[in-house]
This record gives sequence, C-alpha cells and structure tokens, in this order.
Amino acid sequence: MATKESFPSTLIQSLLSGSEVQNRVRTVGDFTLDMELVAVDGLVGAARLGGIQKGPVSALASALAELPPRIKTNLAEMEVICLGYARALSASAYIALRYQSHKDGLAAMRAEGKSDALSLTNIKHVEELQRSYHLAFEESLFEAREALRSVRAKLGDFEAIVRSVQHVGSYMAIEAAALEDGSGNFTSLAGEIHRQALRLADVLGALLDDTNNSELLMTNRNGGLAA
Amino acid sequence: MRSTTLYDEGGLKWIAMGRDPETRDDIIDTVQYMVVADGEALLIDPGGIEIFPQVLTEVTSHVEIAKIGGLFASHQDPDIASSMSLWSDLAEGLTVITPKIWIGFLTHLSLGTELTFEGLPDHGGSVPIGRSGRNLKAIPAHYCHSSGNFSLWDSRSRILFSGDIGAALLPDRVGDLFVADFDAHIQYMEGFHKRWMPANAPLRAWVSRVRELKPDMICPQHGSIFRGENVGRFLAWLERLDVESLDPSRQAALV
Repeated sequence: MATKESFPSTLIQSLLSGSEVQNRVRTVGDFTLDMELVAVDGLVGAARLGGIQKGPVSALASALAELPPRIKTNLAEMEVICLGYARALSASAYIALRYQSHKDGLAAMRAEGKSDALSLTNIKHVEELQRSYHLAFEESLFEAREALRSVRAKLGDFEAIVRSVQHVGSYMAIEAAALEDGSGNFTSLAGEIHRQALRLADVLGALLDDTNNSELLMTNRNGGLAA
Repeated sequence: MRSTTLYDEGGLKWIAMGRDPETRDDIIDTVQYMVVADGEALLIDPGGIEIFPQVLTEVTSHVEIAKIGGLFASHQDPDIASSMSLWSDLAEGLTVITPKIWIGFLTHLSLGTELTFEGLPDHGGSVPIGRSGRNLKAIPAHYCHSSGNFSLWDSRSRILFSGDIGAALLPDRVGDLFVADFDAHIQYMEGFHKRWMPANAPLRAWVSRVRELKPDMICPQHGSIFRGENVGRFLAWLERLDVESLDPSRQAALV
C-alpha cells in the first residue's frame, strides 16, 4: 500500500487512469464516423468509374466499406471490457481505502501501548481483519490486471484493423496511379485512408500508454497502491 | 482524542469521545458517543472516515469490537457516519439505524460493501443498545437541521443525544467538554443555528418534546454538553431563537 500521506492521491490517480482509458476508447467512436465517410467517398468514386479499372477499385471500396462495421463491433466489445476494467479498478480502490483505514486504526490502537486483555483482544481482531483485507486487495489487483489484459487483447484486434486500413490505403494509391481519369480523387482518398489509419494508430498508442500507466499505479510496489 | 464517561450505573454506560488536538483544522470538530449496556454497544454518530482511527482507539478501550451491534446515524451528513462501512467491516452483523428517508443516500457511502440498515419511520421508534435487549428512544427532530433527523433519549440515565441541535463551533478544540458559562457559550451556538436550522417551528416543537422528557444532560455532536441548570437555559434560549430572520450569513447565501 502507499504511505498514509500519498495514499489519497495515488488512489485518485488510479481511479482517474481507469476513466482515461474509457474516455480514450470513446474517441474511437469519432474515428468510426470519419471512416464511414471515407468509405462512402470510395464507393461513390468507384461507381463513377467505367471500363477495366472499375473492378479493382470497386473491390477496394467494398473492402473499405467493411471496415467501419468491424470497428463498431470491436468498439462495442471494447466498451464492455473497459467498463469491467473500471469496475475492477474501483472495487480495488475501495478495498485499498478500507485496508488503509483499518491499518491506520490498528496503528493508532498500538500507539496507545495498552496491554490489558480487552486491548489485546481488539488489536488481534483488527489484525485479522487487516490480513483478510490484504488478501482481498491482492485478489482485487489480480482481477483488475486480468481486466487490463482483456483491454490489451482488444487493442490487438484494433491494431489488425489499422493494418487492414493501411493495406486498403496502399492498394488504393496504386490503383489511383493507374487511373487515367479521376486519379486525383482516388489519390486524395488513399491519402485520407492513410491519415485515418495513423490517427487510429495514435489513439491505440495512447491507450496502450494509459493501460501501462494504470497498471503501474495499481501494482507498483514503490509509490503505487500496492507499495 | 479523549473519552469521558457521562454515566456509569447498573451496567449502563454513556461515553463521549472528542476533544482531539490532533484533528485537522479543516475538519469540523465533532463529539462521538457510545452507549454500552451489559457489555453490548451502540455507536452514536461515530463520525467521518478522517477521524476513524482515533474513534476506534477510544471505542476499543471500553468495549470488545465484536460487541458493537448497532450504529445510530441521526441524519445523512458525512461528519455523522461516513465511517459506517469501516465499523461494519469490524463488527460482524452491525446494523445501521437511521431515518428511513436517508438509507438510499447513505448507501452511497458504503465503499463497495453491503451494509445492513434499519430505517426509522418519521414518528421515531426504539433503538436497541447492541444485543443487550435494552433500548433507547428515537425522538423526532426533523428539519433541525436535516429533513430526516432524530435525537436519542435514554430514560434510565436521562441523557438526550441531540445531534446538531445545541451544536457550537468552539474556537478551542480541547476545552472543557461541559458548558461552564452558558451566556458566554451562546456566541458559539448562535451562528451555527441561524445558518443551519431552516425554520423556527421545528425547533419549537423539538423544545416542547424535550421539555416533557426532563433530561439531565443534552449532548450535541459539536461543541459542549449541557447539564444541570444549563439544560433549562439552553431550551429557553433555543425556544426564543429566531432562525428565520435574515442574519448576515443567510442574507449572503440568498444573493
């Protein structure tokens, strides 16, 4: 556990780190909307094409259109996982708060230096409670870390989506270069796809940082809740 | 923090716990109470989380933790009983007895645990002293200040726990626990009552109810205890006090 002085701020930081993960996940929702718009541009542009070029561009536009629903599904799953993580984190913080309060209580009782039967019985009572809370705290940390592991696994799914977006973007750029008419539109569409892929990669990178920070606050034995 | 025994006779004991020089200045000073009957205990407004270690130390010097069967919370304020989940952790089967209307609000202070509540109806009722089989009586004190609020009466010791009624904000946190000079004490009560008590009628009704009880001691949760002649002086003062006039503190709040 953190020291008595640092405990409240560590506790609050730990809870805040859970909210940061949740809020960051919500920004992925904006990304989904932007990707849907890009996909519409792709489909409309492909529909206007004629001749031999229509086939590959239409296939790419269709592949692009499949990505927003994939993102939406993963995002919905991610929100559930994040909620579980935030709940595990708050349960852990509650246990930590109670553990710390009983620890302070025990310290105050011991400081009295009383050795009569009543005092010794009561000290033993609080010691036993404190031991059980220590175990409960360790268990709650384990559960929070498990939830964090699920967040990271879902981040892996999102990384796969980023790779798909980048892949579609690269092929779109190649096909745009081969187009005689309207290549400018597809070149800018390919650029937009890459920008969106980078944007999602940035959010995922920040999310990974958030989860690492959150784990440090929980489990660090030197300054974290578990210290 | 120090304990003062207010009554100790026939297996019944009233203990006041307060006057802690180490309490942080930014925390309102409180006096906590405990009634012990035949070794079984009831905590009365045992205070907030911040002072829990000090109260625990005092409580455990008088009673076995396992014998704390009940916790009375006169109303919903955090200085009253935000420590209740910690007491519930310690004392298995502890029941929190509080005005029925506040249960859903107090549950927000449960810190992730499940508390056992017993809700007092508006007209009041019996409050058991732990598992002793003896009871105190909850006297309605609604709108003084809280809209759901009870005083606690013990007919045996003739002690009335009055919660925020009679509260005083003292400049000295370590002085005498009992009011020595009533006239000099008024200045510490007046501002509190004029700011926190919403209306005259509930105060007058409370005074009328309490006069019938003829208490020997009136014990507020902040400030000092009234005993002897000061009980009557306090009731007379409170009966005359006009809390509805716009004193500067209220006027400022209404702007």
